[in-house]
Amino acid sequence: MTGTVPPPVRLAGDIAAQFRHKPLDQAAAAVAEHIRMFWEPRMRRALLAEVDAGTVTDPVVVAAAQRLRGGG
Amino acid sequence: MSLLKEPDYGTPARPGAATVEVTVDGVPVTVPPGTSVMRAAKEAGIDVPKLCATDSLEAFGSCRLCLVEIDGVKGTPASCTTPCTDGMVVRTQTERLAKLRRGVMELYISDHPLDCLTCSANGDCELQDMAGVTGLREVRYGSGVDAGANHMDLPTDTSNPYFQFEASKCIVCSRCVRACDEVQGTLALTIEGRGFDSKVSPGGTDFLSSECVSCGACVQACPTATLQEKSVVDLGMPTRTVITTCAYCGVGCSFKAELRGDELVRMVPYKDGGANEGHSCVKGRFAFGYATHPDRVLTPLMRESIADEWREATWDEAISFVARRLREIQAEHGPGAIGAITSSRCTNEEVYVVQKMVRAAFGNNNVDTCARVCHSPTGYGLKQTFGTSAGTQDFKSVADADVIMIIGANPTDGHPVFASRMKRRLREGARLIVIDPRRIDMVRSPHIRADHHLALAPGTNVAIINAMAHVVVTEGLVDEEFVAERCEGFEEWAEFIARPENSPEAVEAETGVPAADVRAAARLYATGGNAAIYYGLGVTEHSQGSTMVMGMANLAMATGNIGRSGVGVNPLRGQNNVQGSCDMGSFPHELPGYRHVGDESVRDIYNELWGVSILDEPGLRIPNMFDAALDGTFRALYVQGEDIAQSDPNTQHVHAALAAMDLVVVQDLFLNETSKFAHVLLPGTSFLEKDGTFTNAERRINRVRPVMAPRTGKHEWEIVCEVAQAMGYPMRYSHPSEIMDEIALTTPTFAGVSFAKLDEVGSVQWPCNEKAPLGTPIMHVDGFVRGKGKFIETPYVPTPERSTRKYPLILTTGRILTQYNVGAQTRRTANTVWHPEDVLELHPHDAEVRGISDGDVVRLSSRVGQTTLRAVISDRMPVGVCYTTFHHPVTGANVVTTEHSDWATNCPEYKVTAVQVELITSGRGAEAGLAAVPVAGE
Repeated sequence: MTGTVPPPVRLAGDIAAQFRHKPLDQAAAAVAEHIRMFWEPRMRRALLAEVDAGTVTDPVVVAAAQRLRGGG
Repeated sequence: MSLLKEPDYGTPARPGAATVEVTVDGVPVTVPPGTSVMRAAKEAGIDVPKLCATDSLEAFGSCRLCLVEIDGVKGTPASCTTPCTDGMVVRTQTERLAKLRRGVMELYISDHPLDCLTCSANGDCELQDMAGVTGLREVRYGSGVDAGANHMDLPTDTSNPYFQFEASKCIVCSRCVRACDEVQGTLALTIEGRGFDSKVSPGGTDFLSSECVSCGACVQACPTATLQEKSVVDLGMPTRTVITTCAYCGVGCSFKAELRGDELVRMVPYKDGGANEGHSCVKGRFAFGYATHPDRVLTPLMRESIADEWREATWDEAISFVARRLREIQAEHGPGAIGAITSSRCTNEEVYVVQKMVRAAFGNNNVDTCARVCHSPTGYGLKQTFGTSAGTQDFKSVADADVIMIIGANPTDGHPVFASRMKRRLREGARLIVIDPRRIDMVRSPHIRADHHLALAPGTNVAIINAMAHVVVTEGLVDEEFVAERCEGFEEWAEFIARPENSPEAVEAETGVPAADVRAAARLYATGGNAAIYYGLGVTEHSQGSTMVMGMANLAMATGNIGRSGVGVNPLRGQNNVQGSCDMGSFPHELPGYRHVGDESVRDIYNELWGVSILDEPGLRIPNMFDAALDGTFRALYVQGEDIAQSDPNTQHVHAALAAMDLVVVQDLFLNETSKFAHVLLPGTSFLEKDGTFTNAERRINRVRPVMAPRTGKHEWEIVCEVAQAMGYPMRYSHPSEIMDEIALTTPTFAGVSFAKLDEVGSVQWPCNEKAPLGTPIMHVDGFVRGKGKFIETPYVPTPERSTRKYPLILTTGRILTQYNVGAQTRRTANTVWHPEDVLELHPHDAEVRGISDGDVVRLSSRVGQTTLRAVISDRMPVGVCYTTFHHPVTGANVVTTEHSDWATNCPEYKVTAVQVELITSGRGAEAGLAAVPVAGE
């Protein structure tokens, strides 16, 4: 529903859903690459903050966030 | 220029090499096989008298004016219906022919009013011309009312708002009927009656009540004043012509703007226009009155707060204010706190300067364009698979298609001039597959019937395209040679697509389409010869819009349907310059020519030329801007020609975001829904005032030439440059051609484009550069732009938007023929006679169980908002699906659409919203559109 999930988390989840058929590391790499290519930095920071706060449960998004943080 | 009268060759050109030699009145001429004697004569510089012939129509041979003598041929055959044969010797002017022609003209004139001096077609009447050419000096049968039985008391039909039918002047040449059949493909006109009673009729009713779509083809074809624009009747014949480009849909038709002095009398489709070749639709042909509508804002408006009234300002005052506030907001909230949106209704040059202002003066990449909410998935999907963000074909290509597959598009309403091309090919026998939840007109219309209509459930596009690809792969229908030579990633993709979960049978329950139908459609697409995909927003405006674009590209590559005429993957773009606005670097991650901002070598080009340092990180997209506004990190927005408060989804969210900003600047023709949240309105110019270029859906760059001076006193590119300069960034051009020169200098695909070239050759399709100096009608001919075409796995992921017990129906949205997008232009024309309000189309079953009858006012609600509309009961919809348009702000259809968007591009999912529909008021007397409100608290 509108407003219940922070937009960066919702949008990252939408991206992750498209790669969920792949092994986790490949899916995470694809999601991280997409976010790196198309997301403005403040959105990436907001996503990482949500991951840090433990509000993100999607394992692909969490793994992608680690890659974004580590530049991988 | 003076009034341009295009030559009329009498019959259409025939394709092929000129190999047939004939002699006409002693002049040798060589023409392609099948060319008529009439056309050959014209090519030799000889006009044969004619009335029923015109080169947009096949020969008819009824008027008997074009008779000629041919050596070795008995009698006097009609030159329009007689094809040339090698060695033919033709005479067009002999005593015998002159006598015959005068006899024919006598008969015509005996039943025609002799009011030439006061006739609206005086000076532009072929009957008048032929009377002169044939030397008619007397009418032995009498003339006018003295000639016995005649048709001169037939009434004039003035029901159509744009043209009249003055039946008393009709010579029954059938040009109008044939134009409706052959050019437009609507078949609304007929010849009613027999013999003396024969008369042109729009199906036994008046024009307004008929099936006529007001494309104007009949008016253009009429050789007399019978079918005449009302503007010509009112104002008189135009005296000069300006060739320009339509400002409506992505077909980008070329028009002759015909004027008297500075007054626009009419718009006539230009035969040399590459996109339309002399055809038009009701919008481009007639709906231009908005440009001079009294609602136009011609002076800058300002206010401190959106609660204040507007006050008029000078340009200097408004521009200084905008620049100062933008800098203040950046100083307080950071350089990334401001951004802009470019418009697909503005020229390439106007768009280019906005993105330049953002990148060079604002110092960020927060620029986006209205393509975000329509074809951004096209940009993403085709770039990933083919290497560039554009359709593969020119419009002419459809004439070589053997199988046409229309997916999520409604060409007869959205792209009517291209639809006419398509219908012509279908009438010639091309096969048709339609994939659409609705039974659009193309499924069944005169002389056209789709071989397969896959009426899928909204949101299941990817499941269907995957199922079709599954059939191709598992039934051995892959073009293996093409794939091996031209593509990469096939093996991995084929393994994915062949999985059982992608079979037609596996997805049948989800899509609602019988597996046998999917298999049959896939086999036809793969084996029916040249197969071409044409698609629209029914593909892109989904949570998997980009996936679907890639899925179509996969299918086309797997079957070898790329790289020649008659095939391809072709987006039907919504607005006139959607392609161009994207080309010009309007996306926050791309510089002009679709080059990522992270590419240092590209940034260097602009850094050096502009004297700045462009950020290497993407900026905010439109929906991201709204989210950031509500977060407080995005505080000012410059909106060029887009009414985001009406057109973007989840109106409540958009309004809240706009209201949260410190500064909203709107550059537009009218005060609109977005301007309710604006602090400054900078008046824009209509297409009749613009000087620049538009790029249509086939990548065709056309000139937009000014018909009149800017009514606001300033071109839109000048406004933007002055804002940038007031912000301290020097941005100066003395003419828009200099902006195009800069685009050409910095963008490889535009390297060969200039105003001078466009004026010389008419138009070019990009890429236009050293390799292709006259452009590229068909892309990926010898290789894909990215080298090898890339197969990409496209798993079907259902949209999170599902029908529920509370919201059991699925709403899908679209547009209709006579209105255009948010209606800012068309609502200010007589087009409202056809569509005075948005309505909700509902299946009879869904209506019946809710006690709703045709014409009742109903409440349409989703989890985010509700509105009221009038119901139209229609079995075009499948059970469980309803449909509306968003042309009218009073109904505000987007108050119910949600935040869901395409995963890759954030293009909104306009096409799938779970809704409920309830009866409010029975009967047609009730008023709709009074309750477009968000749902509180959600």
